[in-house]
Amino acid sequence: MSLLSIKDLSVEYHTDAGVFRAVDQLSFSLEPGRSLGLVGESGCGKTTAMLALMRLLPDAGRIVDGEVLFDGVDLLQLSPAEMRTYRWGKISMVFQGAMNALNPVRTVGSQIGEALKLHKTVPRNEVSDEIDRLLEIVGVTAESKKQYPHQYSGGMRQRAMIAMALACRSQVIIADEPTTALDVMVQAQILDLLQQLQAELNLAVILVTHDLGVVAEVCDDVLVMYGGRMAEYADSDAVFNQPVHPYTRRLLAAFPNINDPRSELASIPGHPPPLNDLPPGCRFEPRCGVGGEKCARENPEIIEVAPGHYCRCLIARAEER
Amino acid sequence: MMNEPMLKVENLRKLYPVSRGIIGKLMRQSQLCVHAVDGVSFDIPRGEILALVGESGSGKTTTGLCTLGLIEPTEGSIHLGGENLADLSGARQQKALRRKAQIIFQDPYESLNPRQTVFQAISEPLEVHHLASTRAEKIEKVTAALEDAGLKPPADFLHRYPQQLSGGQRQRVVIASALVLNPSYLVADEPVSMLDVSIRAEILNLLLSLRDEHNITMVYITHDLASAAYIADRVAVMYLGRIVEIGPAEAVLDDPRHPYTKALMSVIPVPNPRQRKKRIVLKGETPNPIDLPTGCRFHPRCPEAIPSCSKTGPKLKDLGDNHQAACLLLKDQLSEK
Repeated sequence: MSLLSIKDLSVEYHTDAGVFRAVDQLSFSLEPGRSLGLVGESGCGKTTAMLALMRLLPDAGRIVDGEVLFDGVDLLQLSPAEMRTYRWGKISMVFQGAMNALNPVRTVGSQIGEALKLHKTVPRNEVSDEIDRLLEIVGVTAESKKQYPHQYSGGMRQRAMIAMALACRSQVIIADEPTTALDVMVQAQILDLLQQLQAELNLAVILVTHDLGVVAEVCDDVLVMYGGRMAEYADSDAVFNQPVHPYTRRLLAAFPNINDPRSELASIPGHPPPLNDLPPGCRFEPRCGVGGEKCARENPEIIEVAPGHYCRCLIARAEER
Repeated sequence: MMNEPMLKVENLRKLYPVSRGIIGKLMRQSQLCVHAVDGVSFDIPRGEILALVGESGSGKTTTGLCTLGLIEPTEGSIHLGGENLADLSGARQQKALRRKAQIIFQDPYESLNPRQTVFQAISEPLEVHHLASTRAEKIEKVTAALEDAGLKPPADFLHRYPQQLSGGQRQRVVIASALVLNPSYLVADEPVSMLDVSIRAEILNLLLSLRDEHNITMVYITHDLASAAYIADRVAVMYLGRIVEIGPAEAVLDDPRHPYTKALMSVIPVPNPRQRKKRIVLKGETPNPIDLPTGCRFHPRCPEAIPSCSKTGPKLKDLGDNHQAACLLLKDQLSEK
């Protein structure tokens, strides 16, 4: 049994303008000590899927179908009080734009301490030592706990957010675009830290990003999302070296590689489909370029093109046969 | 005259005084300065693209803005198309400069006025510079600029508002409004960093085609060495207000000589797990540009530093093939041979 297993998760937003399905039948699983990269363009549903599994969706969001199994327990069936012991206790999230997620008028140490006290992770008299320990793990000196967020650099704030995510001894960490606003060198430091935590604490890590390079550097498995659905899901080597879905292939062709700087980059024409106007067949068909007539009509099912390598594409199925 | 570089920057320095506050003034504390750019020289031949690469605070944007005359340098000279920017003091001369030197900013969501249509946004520069006398002429020029920027058919876009456009289309509108004046020099400041990966390539390819078709000289400012490698003829790597390495793109990327460039190269994420390599992750962060390290500015974080690095500031050293780097170790390596 996997530590975390998502089955057929579907999420809808109910707004004045209508009902939009932002995530459609998403499934994946995660083992301790492994990392999954969730990749896709803006609006593909990757953040919505993560908020859904944390049960932190905004009011308009509804989980309409699926299971989120943590150690066999379906988180979607828990009462709000029961869910609180899992949220941050078992699964934590480092939000996008961590710069703004810290309270500006309280010291960083006291904000980490609050999480510790609320979840009673350690006895009250050990809270101060625990804050020091957590900050040390993420590479921030203990003296800095008395400082306010504005005295921290971007990289340090991100480290503090990771310390907070670790505060309740979570087994799964979801990092949503954790390095997007950071300089490359600081990005490398944070990625190193996440990899080190994954190995030392046997954490399961989900890295949500649009940066294929970051995923290739640190993730064991990759799930490519498009228009709210899984497009391709396999281990990193397969996705980057034997991509099957045309979207994955085109995404890779659009991404500059420093080892091969002069190979021509080809952007993907058009843009992702708006959720209120999804194409009737395959969602990538209008931008695909290699699809056939059938792709515009027929909805592709998920197929296993190789052991552990999943893809939602009609052409891939034709190629396989 | 044709061999003269389009842009010649010599020993450019830009210091920003830091406010001492009233107590500091009363106590007569000495004036502190942020050394944003500190002794930068380079030139760009006509039709060439130079990438200025560096992390936040390296002075790359300040350098770019100085070359447009948008910021007055503290020291040093800038010649654009043979003219010294410092001599262009009159309003008329300034206006002439604006016509030939343009900039594209990072965020196409903020650089367009939400209440202006595409036509209004692109025709405004024409009005400012009195370049179109009739409405028909204006439409013709705006249409041509939209086509050059790859927004086809132009008629579809003329009357749209920015919120009706995607990020890539907005950035193309920004580019069109720079192109409508037919500039000979363009500064592109992180033009793709706000865009989705799938459309970055089209903007980079557009900039390349503008250079090829209109012979526009460009400075491409970025923190992303991989995109710099793709677009630029030459690359200058900046650290704390100085150029630490400059040369032809292939030379700098295939054979980086400065320890900072080597480290930067090693941490660029490569989209292939089989090409994972040892990352040279530098400790700490770029020091405060007010209180600069002595000697080589990179020495406190340099994995290869030797004791003399904290004393002597290295000068750019010629490595042949137009490739230069500023590192004391390079001299040592050469003299050993």
